[in-house]
Amino acid sequence: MKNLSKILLLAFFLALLILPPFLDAYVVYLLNIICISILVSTGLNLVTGYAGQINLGQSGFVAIGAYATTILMTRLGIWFWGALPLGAVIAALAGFGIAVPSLRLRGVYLALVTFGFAAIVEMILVHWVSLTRGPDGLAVPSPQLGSITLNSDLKMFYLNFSITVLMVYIAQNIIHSRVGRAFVSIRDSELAAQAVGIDLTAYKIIAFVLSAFYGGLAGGLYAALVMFISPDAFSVLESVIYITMIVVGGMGSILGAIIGGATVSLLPELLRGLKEVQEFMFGAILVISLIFLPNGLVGLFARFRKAPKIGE
Amino acid sequence: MILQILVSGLTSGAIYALIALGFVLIYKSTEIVNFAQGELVMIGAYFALLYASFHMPYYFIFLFAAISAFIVGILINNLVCRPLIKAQHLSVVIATFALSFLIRSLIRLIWGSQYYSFASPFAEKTYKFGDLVISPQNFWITVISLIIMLIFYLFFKFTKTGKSMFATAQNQEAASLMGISISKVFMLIWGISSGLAAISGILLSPISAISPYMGIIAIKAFAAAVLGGFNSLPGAVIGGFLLGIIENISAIYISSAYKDILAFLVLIVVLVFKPAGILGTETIRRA
Repeated sequence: MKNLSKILLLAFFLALLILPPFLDAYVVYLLNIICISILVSTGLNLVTGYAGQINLGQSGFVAIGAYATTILMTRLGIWFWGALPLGAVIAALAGFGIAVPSLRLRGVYLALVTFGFAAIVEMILVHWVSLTRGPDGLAVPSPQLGSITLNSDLKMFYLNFSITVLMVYIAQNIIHSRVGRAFVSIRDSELAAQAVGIDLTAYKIIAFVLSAFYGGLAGGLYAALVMFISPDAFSVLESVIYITMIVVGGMGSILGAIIGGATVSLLPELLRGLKEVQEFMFGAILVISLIFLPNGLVGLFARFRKAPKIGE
Repeated sequence: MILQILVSGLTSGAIYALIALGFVLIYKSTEIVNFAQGELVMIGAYFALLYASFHMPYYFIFLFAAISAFIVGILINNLVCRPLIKAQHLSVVIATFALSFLIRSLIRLIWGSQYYSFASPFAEKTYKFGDLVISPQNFWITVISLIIMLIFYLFFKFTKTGKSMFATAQNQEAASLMGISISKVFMLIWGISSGLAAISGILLSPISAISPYMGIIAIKAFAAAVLGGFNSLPGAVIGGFLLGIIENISAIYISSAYKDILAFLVLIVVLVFKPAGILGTETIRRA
């Protein structure tokens, strides 16, 4: 059984590696978006799903990653392969800055601070015209890999896909490490965590920094994919969508973040047509899934798997 | 000059205060932060627009719009919040976000994205008190808001329903042991705070255009509520007026471009340095 799922997973990866050149360009673009969404939701899942610290500011980190990567490339002429991690590190530094108030706040108040952070980032992007060119946005140069320019969605897909797989793998390892177990214990009971000697301050900061790093990395990749960034791609609303991903998928589950990232980022595409109808359906699906799928899609699967056992 | 700034600050402050009251009312009793509060403001304005198209007198428009919003609030409670009563906290917060999506897109489906204006029922002539010039709009907005707040206060202080709502906010368990129906109170609370939001939307509509995006104002009211203390009703009022005044002062002495950021700066500074706000009680324990 365990072998079977391993083989299936391998086959799935292989399919994703081999198929894209034969797929419609639009589908390849969507695959890219899914990868980037999964990256964001995996990061968010670390801080919110595992460590239990509500973060409504993820769009701010994504924005910082995207703008930092772009500006490092265009203004300072840094190579993409340096600018991308640097951008993520800058986002992580911002995460550090947000983690400091999180030491005092919890629940709704923390949600407010992070929400305010994302809103401020968005406004800075609009108003700091000399750096960000405001609402006009910035053109993003395509990354170079040796003599190849990653200027198509197809080429970007291989980059996005490999980074996403790598980062999800890292997240998986973090979860099963000392750090991950500390996150969960903080989420379940701060008091108990403290009693067994977990340094709340340090781990909360780590959670935020990690989440921001994932967000920033996703932002840099997004910028390179769409080749043009402007503040409206990083509105506070996006933060809500990211939270939706981990809720719909199932919080505190790596698979949940993946499923959530994939489905929620596809949702607007499936609901094409009039934009108003699309938003309406999005809201409705979200409310309905919150009410009827309290543990997300992953919870739904788990229920099916566990239910029929007799004698338990 | 400074007096003039204060007075115009009071007008926007009055609106913030009304919306902030709605936020605090819901939070205090149900512990939900209603992120759809801005959309309820917008709904009020659109209801007013709808009833105005029937050529009703202003006070009827006002009354009907407020009652309609009251019903919307109750619907939200019954259809969304009640099923989620045992869910995780985050789920409910996200549900209100989703609601704001829903309401905004519904309004755009019906009325489109264009801006509507709403004829002002008040006289055109400005009032003058010495050097002070007040437009009748601003004057009446402030006066009506103050009257609503007074009614609100009297309701909580002297009616049985009001008292039971207050008791629920203070201690749910004890209140239900005293025979108060918590679910009825929650319903009323959603109705009332939705009504309050709608009233501020109606008052706002003659001075700002009616559009699906007018709910943005709730973010500022939110900052106001935090400034005053998120679990204090008088705090919401004080925070509202204070934010209105701070905003107007900074618009004149610093720059009006940063007026919108200011609300968030206030929000973060208050949350970081004094999370309980001006009048709120400290419920946030140090970790």
